[in-house]
Amino acid sequence: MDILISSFLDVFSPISFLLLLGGIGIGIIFGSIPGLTATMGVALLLPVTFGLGPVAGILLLVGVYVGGISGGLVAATLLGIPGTPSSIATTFDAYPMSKNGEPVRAMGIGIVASLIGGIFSFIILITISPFIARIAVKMGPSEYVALIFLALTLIAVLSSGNMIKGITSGIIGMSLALIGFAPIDGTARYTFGQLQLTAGIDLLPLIMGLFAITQIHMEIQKGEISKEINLKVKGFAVSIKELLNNTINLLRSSSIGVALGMLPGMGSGASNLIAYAQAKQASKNPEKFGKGAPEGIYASESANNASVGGALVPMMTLGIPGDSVTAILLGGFMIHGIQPGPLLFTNNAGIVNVVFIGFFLSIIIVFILQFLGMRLFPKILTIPQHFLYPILLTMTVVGAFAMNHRIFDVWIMLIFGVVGFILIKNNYPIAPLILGFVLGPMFEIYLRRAFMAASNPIEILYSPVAVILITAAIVILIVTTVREVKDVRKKRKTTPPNINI
Amino acid sequence: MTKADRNIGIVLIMIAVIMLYQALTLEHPHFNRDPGPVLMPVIYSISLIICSLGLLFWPRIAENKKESKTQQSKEQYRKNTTKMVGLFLFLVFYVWSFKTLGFILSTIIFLGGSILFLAKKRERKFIIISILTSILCTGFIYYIFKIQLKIQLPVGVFF
Repeated sequence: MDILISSFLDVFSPISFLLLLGGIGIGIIFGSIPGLTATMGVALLLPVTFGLGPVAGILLLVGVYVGGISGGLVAATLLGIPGTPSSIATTFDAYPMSKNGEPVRAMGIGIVASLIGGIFSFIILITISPFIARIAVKMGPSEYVALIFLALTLIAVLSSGNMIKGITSGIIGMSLALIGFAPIDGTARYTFGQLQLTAGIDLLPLIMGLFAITQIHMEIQKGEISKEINLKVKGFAVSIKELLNNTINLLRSSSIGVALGMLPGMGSGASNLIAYAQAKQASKNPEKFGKGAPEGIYASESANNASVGGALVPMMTLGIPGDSVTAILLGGFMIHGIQPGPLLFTNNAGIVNVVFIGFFLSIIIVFILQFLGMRLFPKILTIPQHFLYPILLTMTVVGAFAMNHRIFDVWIMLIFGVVGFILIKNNYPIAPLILGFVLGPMFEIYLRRAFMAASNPIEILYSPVAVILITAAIVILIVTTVREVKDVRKKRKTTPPNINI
Repeated sequence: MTKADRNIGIVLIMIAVIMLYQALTLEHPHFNRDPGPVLMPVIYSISLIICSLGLLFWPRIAENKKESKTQQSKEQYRKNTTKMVGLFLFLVFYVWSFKTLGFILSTIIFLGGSILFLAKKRERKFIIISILTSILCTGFIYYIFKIQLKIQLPVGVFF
């Protein structure tokens, strides 16, 4: 108890608290600006913490991390540009809702969902985190392959409406991820002798091209259509009834966020897409997804915030970072003489409490800051196109360059701007492409490891967990295909066929 | 599928065939029981060929003319498309010019030029506002990124 009180006093000391606030503010800015990510924010501020004490330094980094993941909501909702990879799925429904004249409602849903996802992951973090982390660590390559295969089948769910196009999009994404050095043996694939391609294509220029460049150019082609923006909404613009209707959606998405946050390599980038696909799969009105469905925003935003707490679980309990940002955080901890791992909870309970309190406070402060800005941020939409779009394009160029300090990444972004434009104009969904790009490399790594560990390929199925996951994947595939066939038949019955040649 | 889908299908088949050829001729080390770096390229390229065949041979439907119901006339749509293509070419020039002009000059030119290019009316007052906006924005980005965050920006011959 004394340790807990002492931790509270440490966190609420004026300097520590101000640094936490500052970190959250910087994080939100990094998350909101296309091209700047939470990872970059934490990496940039890490040297700043060298001169600070452990408590103040760690609070600053935790604040930037939580703020950075949450800040993506603003750009995703108002501009259709994911500020960070964690808010890709938010653009699918929050932006259409915003375009339909309800930006404040879209923001409100996102803010409330972020709070719920964050608190859910906080509860998991402080209660059953060591237990879950131990289970996660016991998962071998077979279980990982099965899990990623299950996640990949969600491409079919995201493709409902036009499965061929969606699956094509997903395979394009997985194929793009093959470029560069292969995992395990380091063989260069599809580099065509270009040195720049050996490192592969980075996720950030890809999403900046597919979303920002494409979106801005499509808006210019559509022309400036002035639509009345509803800024006068009460409270959070979210009704209690709507929240209650989304209880299962929020719980499922937050659980997906926490679970994927804990698994190495998955994190918030994949969790928001998977939670979105699951929400679509479970929805009674899947056809409304992509047109401003609130369920889609609830799913994406609760999942990406929940994954923050999820990622902290293996980092704190086992000293294993789940993604790049937690890897930098881990470095920050070690610089301050704190060694995360099983002994951290007994040897350094005070610091554990500081992280927990800092994480909780960050969720609440992000919520308050975003609520205060909820009616202010949508004013961005009143800026004339001819000022807004050139500035946004400049920011995307700077963001793509700043990632690796390579002009090559900017060219990649421009190429994917054109690719995205062609795909979207021809009704190819972009979500499967991103999901394939994120999960493809991990699927390959674990599949090859599983083969190497097994004496014959069937041995992969000896694990009961893998069998359950693969069975679930097959069930999802069958259900989605049956639903798709039914929809096609229904459409053919209700509408006369177009010219078939 | 539409005519555009069929064209996409043809392009994807060509890409998939190149992918498959490269995968099958790839030299790589062999480890015990490891399927090697060619397994996934072969699976993906064959899957891509199957999907492309689907795009090519799925019953063709008439082009969707829904776009014409948008609030703007065909003339306006053509004008906007020209603007869009112009802006993209300007963006390509902007990125290309980093090597010579550097970040500051090329960004001022890109911002000022594209604001004027996209604007409907270009009165004298507006031109001054555009130039001021481009200078201030460039200065702000440079200050935040280069000075405050110490993030490297593209460097050219000039700046």
